[in-house]
Amino acid sequence: MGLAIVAVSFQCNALTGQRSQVLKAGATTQYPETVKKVIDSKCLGCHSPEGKSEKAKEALNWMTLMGLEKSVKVSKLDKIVEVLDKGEMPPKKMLEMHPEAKISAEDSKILRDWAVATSDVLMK
Amino acid sequence: MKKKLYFSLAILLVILVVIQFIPSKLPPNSSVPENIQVQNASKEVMTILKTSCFDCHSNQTDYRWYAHVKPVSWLIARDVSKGREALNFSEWNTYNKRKLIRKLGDIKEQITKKEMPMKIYTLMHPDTKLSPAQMLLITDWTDQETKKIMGQ
Repeated sequence: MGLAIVAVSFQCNALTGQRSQVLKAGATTQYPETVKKVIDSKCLGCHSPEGKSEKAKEALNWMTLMGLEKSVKVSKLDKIVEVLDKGEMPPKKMLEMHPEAKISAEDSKILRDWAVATSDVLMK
Repeated sequence: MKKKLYFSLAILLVILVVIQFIPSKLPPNSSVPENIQVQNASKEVMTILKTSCFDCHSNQTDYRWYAHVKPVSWLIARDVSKGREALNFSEWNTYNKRKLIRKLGDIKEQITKKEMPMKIYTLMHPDTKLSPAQMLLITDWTDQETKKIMGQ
C-alpha cells in the first residue's frame, strides 16, 4: 500500500512537471528511500549517464527512467522484474571482479515489489 | 594438385557424415497441434504472425528436412530456442499485462527496424518477408493493443 501511494505521487509529479526538475538535478531522489538505496548501491555504477557500458545505459538509465513515455516505462519495469527473477543482475562477470556488488534477496525484493507496484499504477 | 583437391573433399565428406551422428537439440513442438489465437489480433494479423513469426516464436515450428541435417540443424536449434525464449505466441495469453506491454513494444521495434524476421530466414523462405503494408498492420495492432492494456 505504501509503495502504491509513493508510485501515485510519482505520477502526480510527472503531471505537474516537477519531474523534470528532479531529472535536471540528476539524482535518484525521485525514488522511495528504500528503493533509492538499492539503486544507488547496486545499479547506478552501470545504469546511469556516468556508466561505462553503452549497452547498459541504453537498456536502462535510472536518471531518465521516470520521464519516459508510460508504456515504455512499463516495459523497462517489466525487464527489471525479469532480470531480478532470473538473477541476471548485477551480471556474473561483474560479480567475479566485485563480489560485494551482489544484490541480496531482500534488496532484490524491495526493487521488484516497487517495480511491480509502479507499473500497476501506470496501467490503471 | 587435383589429388589434393579430391583428398580435401573426401575429408570434408567424412566430417559431414560423422557430425550427423552428433545429436542436435531442436526445441520440441507441443505434442498436440495448437490453434494459437493471439488475443485481439485480427485475421490478417494472425496470418502474418503465423507465416512470418511462428517458426521461431511458437511451439509449432515447421521443421523442414534440412533442419535435421547438421550443421544447419545446430543453427536452427539455437535460433528457435532463443526465439521462443524471447517471445512465444503459444504462451502469449498467459503473459501478464506488464509483460504484454513489453513484448508489444519489442515487436514494434523489431519490425520497424527490420530486424525481424531474420535475414537468413527470409532468404530461405521469401514468402515470410514482410511488405510495408504488412508491417503497418503489425505496428497498428501493437499500438492499439498497447493503448488498450494501458487503459488509454
